[in-house]
Amino acid sequence: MSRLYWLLVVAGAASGCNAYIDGTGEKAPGGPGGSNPVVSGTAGTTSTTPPVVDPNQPPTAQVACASADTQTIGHRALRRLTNAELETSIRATFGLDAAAWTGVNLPSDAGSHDGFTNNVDSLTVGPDYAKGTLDGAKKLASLISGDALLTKLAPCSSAADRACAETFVSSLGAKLYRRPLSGNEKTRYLALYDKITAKEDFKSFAYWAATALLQSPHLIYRSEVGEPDGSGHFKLSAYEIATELSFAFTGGPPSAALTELAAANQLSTPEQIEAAARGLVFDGQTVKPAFRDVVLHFANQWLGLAGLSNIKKDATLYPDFSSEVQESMAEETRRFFSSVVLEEQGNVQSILTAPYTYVDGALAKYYGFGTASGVDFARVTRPANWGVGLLAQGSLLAVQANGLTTSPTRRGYLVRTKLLCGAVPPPPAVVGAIPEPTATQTTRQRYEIVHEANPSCGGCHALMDHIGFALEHLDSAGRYRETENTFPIDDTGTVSGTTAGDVKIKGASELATTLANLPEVSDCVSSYVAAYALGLNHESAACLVSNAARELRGGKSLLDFYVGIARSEHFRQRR
Amino acid sequence: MKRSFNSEHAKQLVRSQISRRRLLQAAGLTAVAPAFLTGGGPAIAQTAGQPLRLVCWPLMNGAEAQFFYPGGGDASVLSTITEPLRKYASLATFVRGLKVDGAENHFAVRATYSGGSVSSYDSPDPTVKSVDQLIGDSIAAKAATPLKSVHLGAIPADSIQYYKQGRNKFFYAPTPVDYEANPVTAFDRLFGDSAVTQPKPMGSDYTTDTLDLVGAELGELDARLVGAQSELNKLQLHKDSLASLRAAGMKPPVTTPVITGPLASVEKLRASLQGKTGEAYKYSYFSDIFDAQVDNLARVLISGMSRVATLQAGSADNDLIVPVGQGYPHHLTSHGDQPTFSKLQNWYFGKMARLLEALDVDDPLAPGATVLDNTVVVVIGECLPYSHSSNGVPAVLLGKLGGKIRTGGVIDAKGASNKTLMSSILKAFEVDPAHFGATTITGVLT
Repeated sequence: MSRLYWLLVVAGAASGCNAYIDGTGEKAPGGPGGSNPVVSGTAGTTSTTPPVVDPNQPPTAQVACASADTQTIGHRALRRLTNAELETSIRATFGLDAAAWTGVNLPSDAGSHDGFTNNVDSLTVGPDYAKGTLDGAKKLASLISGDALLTKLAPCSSAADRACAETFVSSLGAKLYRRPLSGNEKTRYLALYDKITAKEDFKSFAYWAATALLQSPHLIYRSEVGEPDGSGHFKLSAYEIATELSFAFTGGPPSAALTELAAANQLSTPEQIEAAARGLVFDGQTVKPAFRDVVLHFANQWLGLAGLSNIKKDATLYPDFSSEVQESMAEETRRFFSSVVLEEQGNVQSILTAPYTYVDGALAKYYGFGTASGVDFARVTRPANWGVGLLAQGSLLAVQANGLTTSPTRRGYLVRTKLLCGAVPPPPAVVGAIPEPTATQTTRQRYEIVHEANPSCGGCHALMDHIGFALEHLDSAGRYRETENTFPIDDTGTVSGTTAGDVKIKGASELATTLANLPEVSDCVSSYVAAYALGLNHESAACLVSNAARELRGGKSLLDFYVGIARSEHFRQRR
Repeated sequence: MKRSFNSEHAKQLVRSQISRRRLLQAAGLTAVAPAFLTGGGPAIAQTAGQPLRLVCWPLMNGAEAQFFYPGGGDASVLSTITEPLRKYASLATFVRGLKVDGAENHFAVRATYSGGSVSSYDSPDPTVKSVDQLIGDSIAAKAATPLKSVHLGAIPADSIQYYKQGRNKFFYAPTPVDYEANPVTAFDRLFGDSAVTQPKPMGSDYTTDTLDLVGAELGELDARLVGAQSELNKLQLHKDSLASLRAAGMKPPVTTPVITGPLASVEKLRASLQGKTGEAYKYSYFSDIFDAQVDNLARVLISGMSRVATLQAGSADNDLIVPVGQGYPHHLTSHGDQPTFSKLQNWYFGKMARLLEALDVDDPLAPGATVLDNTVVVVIGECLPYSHSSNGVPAVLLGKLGGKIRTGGVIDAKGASNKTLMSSILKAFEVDPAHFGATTITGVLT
């Protein structure tokens, strides 16, 4: 049992954690909890808490990792496509642009507790989804069975015979199912052909066949089921691996080239799979746009930046925090992440300590540094005191803050959960009131009065607030401030319970470098990356990619880590 | 009581051809009994044809009593928060002193309408049907509507919200019921081509054959996944969903009054929101989205497309900016100055007034009454804003429900729970409450 785990459990149990998570009275973002991987007492290694089986929880495809350091394989799974993945698949199959087809019309994808919307347990087919699929399939079938598209998809349709029906189903089915159809599957479609064409014409068959194909579980789910390999495990087929690769590295279905590799059984060994993955990532030395989009989508969900456009700051205190600035901040972070991770192929340390950022004209004016103008972004070195790396990004600082004031709790919570993978007990059922911001106190003082003076609050809040305090020179709207309400700012803090012990810090840059030097931070980030790539919770994903995580910890790039996921046994087999 | 059209948008909701071919007879109940429910004996039992409607409308983050309840026992006096309902004050029935049984704090949202036990943010979802689903089942058995229930949202709780992502639904069937957060998508699904007039298939309808084909593929997957219980459960849910589609297809089509034409509030948003799921979560659209979803919901109820509907507007425990004055974050404000927070909740009741106004039109299913006459809107908060206690949560019923509810008063629930309130609603709809909630409640509010 790790030291931090005990710290958290004892703090939570003894105190009831009877406090606000935030100095403004807000609860813990995300409703933290669960058996997160936690840091062991031995520097440089990690472990996970022993899995706790809750009989009240439904069965899950998640993995109960015995240790994050011991690589294992996960369970068989059917991963329902996200709405975006389904739409991309349909567009790719039928060559439909936005003008021809407006897209899927289905319930929103549910999110996981990690904030990702592609989790294997969260995506299911309920009544609304099934109804939406049927309705949507019929609309698309009308397009597909129309003269223009049908002639293109099935040139033989003028013959309107059984052979053409088989060709129609086989060719479209192979694209939609991401593998050739089985004999049984073809037989069922041909039986449908026989039934319909006893009374109707070929176009009618095309309509109903398309309606069925577009509802098929083989389209809707990514199969990661495999076949028994005789050793108690299940070996994924080459087509299943091609599908894994394609969605993980491009966000869409396999290309013809990747499908050909599968057909030729060229996706069997780790080397073959890694080579295919690199082919999806790189075009020569350049990272392909589809992979860039995947990485940036991950970052957006990992850091919870989707809410940036909804942030509103106090108009008196932050009059120039405009929607234009917010949009530029979002693009700033995309460019920063892309530059560090993809162009410079940095590692976790690089993300946390890169001394530069990107600004356009609006941000140069807003921040007061940089020489960019207009909508063109320029790379600029951050001024001293403005912090470094990811944690100094205006977008992240603004999202993890309140309208009037900063939020050491929210900022600390983000670091504790998304960079340290620490567990913070859920907030209590009933919480009391806290003082409003005043002109006579700093935010830190308000937090200390509320949280630290009360032992029942301090246990949990020390895990978060003492990290967030280090960012106090960066205000609620993401800019440097020398003082707060004319008072000097105390930006000292502590990152507690690490493999390096309780580390004292002062300021944003020291926080960043401290975190960058902790091996558990590398492991934590890799577990979130793997969670996104594999559609699992990060606690589960950690032990499926242990080998690649070890390499990342040793200095390899994050991009290499992502590609390394494709080398894992989990990518080829299941239990 | 019959009211005439009284606003342009109300007219728009029912404009055009309303078919009277299948108008149902109104029960014509006007009795005013001394209790909350107007008796229960056979003399006033609901007929199968009485077109009663239910709306569930959660009140996020609750309200402090002094701002929510009328000063005395007369509901018509109203309160700071409910003042926008002045025109319909006689239709309000306040319930004071309710507790949410088996849940506390914001996570009680999962318990209020379901009666499930939810002991923490991390608790599994309830596994019981919520009140809307039980009533929907009952209506489907007696006089089916095209849709059993309709669930809409205006920037509702979702995966980016705080309280336990993925476990933030209000309504259960018994798995969480999805809602539609995009009013343009909702309109198109409810009233657009894909809903009212499916693309016309050539010749006969082979929908069932396609479902059979999909079912056969699911069966094959089942066989391959023996031992993988989570995935088998997933397939079972999928199969059950197909079964419900198949069952819906087997029934003779239910004809309801046809209401066609665009809704101005929806069309105002079409260019911005059509096909853009994420845009429907932008706070800048909140008020317009709210209006559009209210109008969608009203049209559903007026036409009889469904007689059960829910609307999640905003979410508890999140700082959605409410466009009152300079704009206030909802949850953060709930913790602070209560007069300010009451203005925010007052704004929500302004939207409620829009709904009541929209429903205050001739009931095409019950000549001589308005839709509002045959409706009850059940409003309940999950906890109190300041303390986050779920003891004494605010609740109000709006509407007479065909004369089944004695309106215009303040009921002291004396510590009764949400289960008692929901059981009372179930009984008003002549639904046996025995299967409601985690434990059975036999009494009703009086």
